[in-house]
Amino acid sequence: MKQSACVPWLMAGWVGSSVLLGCDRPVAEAPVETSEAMVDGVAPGDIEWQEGVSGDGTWMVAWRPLVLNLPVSEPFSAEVRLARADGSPTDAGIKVFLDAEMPHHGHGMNVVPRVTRRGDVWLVEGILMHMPGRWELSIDVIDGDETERSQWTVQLER
Amino acid sequence: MRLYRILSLDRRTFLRGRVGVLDFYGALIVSLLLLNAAPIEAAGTRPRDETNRLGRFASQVEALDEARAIAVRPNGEVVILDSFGAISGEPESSGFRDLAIDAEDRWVLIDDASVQCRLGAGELRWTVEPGGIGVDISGPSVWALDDDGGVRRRDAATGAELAARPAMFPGARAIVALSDGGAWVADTDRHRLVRLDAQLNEVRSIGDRGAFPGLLNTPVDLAVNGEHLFVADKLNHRVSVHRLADAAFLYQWGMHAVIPREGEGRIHYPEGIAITPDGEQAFVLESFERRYQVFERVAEGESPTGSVLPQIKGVQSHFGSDVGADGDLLAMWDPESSSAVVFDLTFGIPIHVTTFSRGGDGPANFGRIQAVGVDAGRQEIFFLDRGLRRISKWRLARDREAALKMDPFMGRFIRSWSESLLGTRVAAKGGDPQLDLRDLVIRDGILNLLDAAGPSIITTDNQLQVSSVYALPEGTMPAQIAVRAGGGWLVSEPSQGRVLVIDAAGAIERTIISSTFGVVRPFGVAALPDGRIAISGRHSDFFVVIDGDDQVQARGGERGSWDGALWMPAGLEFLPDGGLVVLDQGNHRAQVFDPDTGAWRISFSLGQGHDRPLLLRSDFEPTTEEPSDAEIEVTP
Repeated sequence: MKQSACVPWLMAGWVGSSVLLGCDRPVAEAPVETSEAMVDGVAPGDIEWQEGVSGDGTWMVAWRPLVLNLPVSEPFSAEVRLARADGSPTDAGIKVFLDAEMPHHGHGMNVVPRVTRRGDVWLVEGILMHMPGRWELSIDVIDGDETERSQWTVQLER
Repeated sequence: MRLYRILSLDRRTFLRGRVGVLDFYGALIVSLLLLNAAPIEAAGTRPRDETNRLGRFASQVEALDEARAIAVRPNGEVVILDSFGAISGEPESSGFRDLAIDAEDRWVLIDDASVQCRLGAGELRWTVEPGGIGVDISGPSVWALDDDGGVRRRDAATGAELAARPAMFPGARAIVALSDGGAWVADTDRHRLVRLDAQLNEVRSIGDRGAFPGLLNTPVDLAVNGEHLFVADKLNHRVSVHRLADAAFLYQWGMHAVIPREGEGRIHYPEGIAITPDGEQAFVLESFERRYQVFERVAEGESPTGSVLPQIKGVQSHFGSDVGADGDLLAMWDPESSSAVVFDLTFGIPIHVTTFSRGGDGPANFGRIQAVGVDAGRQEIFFLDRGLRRISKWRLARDREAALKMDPFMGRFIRSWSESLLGTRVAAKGGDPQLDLRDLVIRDGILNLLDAAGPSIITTDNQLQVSSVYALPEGTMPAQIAVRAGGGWLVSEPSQGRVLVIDAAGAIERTIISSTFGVVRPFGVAALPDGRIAISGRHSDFFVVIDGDDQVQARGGERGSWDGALWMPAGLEFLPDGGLVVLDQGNHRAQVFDPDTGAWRISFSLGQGHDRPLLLRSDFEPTTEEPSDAEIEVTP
């Protein structure tokens, strides 16, 4: 059984984003290259992917943290994978941008995570949510002159 | 830790002041105090300059309308470009977009098509093409900026082009020539100053968006005197002074007015700046206030004007020039915070339900929003972002059945497209790929985009797939668009003093010469289902509702700031209940009028709205009372 590292803090957001973004649509299975290092005694491959569809339905997007519990004010990494909803191939020039905001506070993160592509997976390093509370985590897929967002609500507890 | 030090300085400055009554807008005022307090000077490691400081209010000259540029001759005579681009004293001239005069009384003028150089007010020395939006002259060089941010350096003696580079600083509004052949550019949409050498190489860049001293928010004009570089810092409502060599911050003056039309040292949207060659006077053009102010040197130990705030009255939120409404939603843009504000129209008074985004260049940030379009059916809002050269789509996570509430999580960025992608799609439909988008209206799920470059009207679906491109007559200089109920559009042309009535096939059905009913520069347009047309007058501070025969059926508004009065009215929209929304830009609010009678119904802004007059004409009439204890004084 896969360990669900995210359920305690993602449950509310998962439901909310499902309503908004239609996250019941599945993400295509794709070969995933992950870090081999164990995370808190758990293989990264056992951490559940959080799946969603971009705002206009162009992309199926999934992400997972490379930690069991999202930390407050501690940097962490995540992996992102994506596929076109219509099944067409993903261009090599696609870029991914992960961000997080607290709209009710009027701020986002104080850092810009670094994103590197590793095959079909994008590794995002240096995500830092510097305070507890409700965050809106977003993944923007930048396809040349178009950018489209997927979004999740994350309730981060201290 | 410079930021912390500056913050500490501001806080101490504020705490030494006496604070009187603060109402809802107190927070705004406190922010302005903290960020704009006049005694702010260079601190710590920044350069100090205790002498030669300008900023003491001397006088103001009013009744200018929305002037485009200001310059000063060596003899101290002030020269203005008026709202039509005519030179003061030369009423037969028109169409100029910028003007500069150097210490030798050499004049350079730029319009859409050309740059010209004169000796004094008379002898024409040369004229060359192309034109642009900004120009300056100093020493051996004339520098010019074009619409796309391209930069040209010319020989001041002949006009011959010496160097050119296209699209260096899209959205840049001003350039100032230096005696060494180089230039400083106000890179307006990126809120920075850029130093160019004579070969157009970028040798230094400084500045970022913000309100703390030394930061900028939409710098729109520059002037040089001695070793000082003066910046008209538009959305910070101040003049920021920097060291000419490296643009290090020196000092600033000016403070946002808190009473409409206040002036006398308080600055509101500075649009231009000019300094006398002897450095004794500064002229700050406030097009929005239809005036310029004159500032002199500050005496030793004295603070620049603007360190005392009068009693708070009538301060509202800032809005851009466009309003979008559809069904039960209305949206506008706040330039100062670079965020969108949304109102629910379900009830009688528009109620502010969310604010989203902020300034920056990230995927979900805003640059400079030109227009807002609302699609109530999909609960989507589109933004024409000229600063970032893209079109953005947001969607509201809003349950219409739920109780009304303010929800900061409501707005969700969905998607954006670059202008160049839209241009490619326009070209595929036979249009011009070069775009200069001015307005956007959404009706029945169709985006209607107004393009001044084509010029054309572009229609798209909500994926920005272009369905049609309708060419407008060559030479059309459009500002705003409305969709007619039976098909077709209305297009305003302020500089031509007319409104085009266009049928569903894109043909001109008729031309309304709005000056016949007193609207000299028509800006906002809206179409009623019964064929009536509403037009706002940027120059005349009122709106009219006309019928199909161009007969005035109603007229509303007058120049002023009380309920029912207007100052620089901008976008118009009709509400579902038939009320006419007028974006009263100069009074930082929107108002609703009865289109049948022109009578005032509602004033609303962020967090407030009222349908019984609260702001009366008498509130704005001059009084002779002494300053009260409710005034806030900031002492250095």
